[in-house]
Amino acid sequence: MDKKTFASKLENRVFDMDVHDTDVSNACYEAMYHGLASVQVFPVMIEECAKLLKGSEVKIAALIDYPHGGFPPEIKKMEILDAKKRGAEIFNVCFTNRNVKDRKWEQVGRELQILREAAGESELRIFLETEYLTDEEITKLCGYAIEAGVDTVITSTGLYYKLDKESRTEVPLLADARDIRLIKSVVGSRMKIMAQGFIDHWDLAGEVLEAGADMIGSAKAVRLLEEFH
Amino acid sequence: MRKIDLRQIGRIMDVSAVRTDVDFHEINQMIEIVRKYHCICASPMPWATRYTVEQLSDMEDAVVTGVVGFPSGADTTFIKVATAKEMLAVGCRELDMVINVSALKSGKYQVVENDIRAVVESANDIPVKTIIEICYLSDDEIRRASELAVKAGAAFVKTGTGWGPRPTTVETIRLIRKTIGSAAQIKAAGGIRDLDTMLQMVEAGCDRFGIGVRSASAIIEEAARRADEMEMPREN
Repeated sequence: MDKKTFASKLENRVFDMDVHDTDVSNACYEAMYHGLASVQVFPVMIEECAKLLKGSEVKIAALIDYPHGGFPPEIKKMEILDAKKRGAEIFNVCFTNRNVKDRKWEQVGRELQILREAAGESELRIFLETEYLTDEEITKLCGYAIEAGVDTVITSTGLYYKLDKESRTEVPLLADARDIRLIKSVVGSRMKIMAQGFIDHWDLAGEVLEAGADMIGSAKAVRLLEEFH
Repeated sequence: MRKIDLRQIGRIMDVSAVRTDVDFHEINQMIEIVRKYHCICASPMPWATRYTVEQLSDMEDAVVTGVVGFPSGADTTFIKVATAKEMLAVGCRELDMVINVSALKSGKYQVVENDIRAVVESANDIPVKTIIEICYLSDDEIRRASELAVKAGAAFVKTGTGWGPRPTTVETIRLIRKTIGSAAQIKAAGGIRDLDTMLQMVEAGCDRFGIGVRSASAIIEEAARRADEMEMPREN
C-alpha cells in the first residue's frame, strides 16, 4: 500500500465535544492538505466544515446520537436528515445496544431499517461498541446490519477508558485487532469495517489494517500518515 | 444556612439512570426509588422516557425530565428544539439540556445563549435545566456559562451530565451561586455519591441533585438514619 492509499483510509476525528472551533477547522485543513478521506464531527460543526471543505474531495461524517445512542430511532432519523441538509455525506450512528443485550432483535431490525432509510444513498455506518458486546452479540448484530444494508460497522466510539486492574489507573480502550478479525470473519466483503479507538500510532494502525479494517477513525490521522511505512 | 428536612431528602433528588449500560432493571429501580421515597424527579435514558412517564403518571409530586442534546451538547439547535418538543409530547415536565460547550470554549457566547433560549422558548413554561459540563471548563468559563444560562431564561444551572471525567465539587457550587445570585436554581450532577457531600453542597447553595440510581437508596437511607439519631433523646 502506498502513502496516498493509506491517506484515503483515514477519517480525521475531533475526538470530543469540548473542542475549540480552531480544532475543528484544523481537522478540515489537515484533511484537505494530506488527502484524507473525511472528517468526523458533531452535527453542530457540520456547516462550518462544509464551508471550509467546499470544492474539496473531503467528506463530512456526522456523529449521530454520539456517544451514547440512547435516543429512539425516530429522533436519530431526524438527526440524520438535519445533518444531511447541512452537508454531511456519511453518518456514524450510535446504535441502541441495549436492544442487542436484551435480545430484542425485532427492535434491532426496526432501528436499522429506519436508519438505512434516513441515510438514503449516503454511507451509513453504525458503532458496534465491541467493548460492551460479547462475541455472539457482535456476530448477530453484524448479521442484522448486513441484512439491513448498512455500509460500514465502526468498532467503537473510541472515547472510553477502562480501569486497568494491575496499575489501578484508567487506560484508554484501544481498538482491538482481535475484535476486527472476528467481525471480518462474519461480514467478509459484504460490509466495510472502520476501526476506531485511540489509534494514535502507526503500530496499532498497521495491526488493525492487517486484521481487516478498511478505514481508520483517528484524532491523530496526520501522525499516522507521518509514521506510515 | 439552608436547612433541609432529612426525611424529605427525596424532594431535592433527581434519580437518574442515564449511563450507556443502563438496562430495564435499573430503569425500574429508578422508578421504584422515586415512588418509595417521594423523589421529585426521575431522569431516564431517552429510550425509556415514555415508559417512565407512564409508570409514574399517578405520582403528582414527581416529574420526569427529558434529556436534550445529551450528553454531547453538540447537536444543532434545530435538533435540540425538536427533541425538547418530543420530550414534552411524551409527558416530561422538566428538561435537562446540554449547552454547546464547543461554542463556549470558542468564545461564541451569543451562539451559546441563542441555543439555550431556543430550547427555553420551545418549552413554554416547563423548567429547563442547562448542563454546562463543568469538568471541561475553567472557572471563568463556568461563570460565563452560568450567566448565559440565566440570561437565556434557564430555570437551573446544572453542573454536569454525569458522563464527564470529573465530579462536581462544593467550590464549583459556591462559584456558580456567587455568579448568578438568586436568578436561577442550581442542580449538581456527576459523582455525588454520599450524603455529606450533598449537605455541604446545599450549604453552598445547591437546590437539586442528580443522583445515580446506584447511589440513591443508600443516600436516602443514610439521611433517614441521621434524622432518627438527631431525634433521639439524650441521656444526661
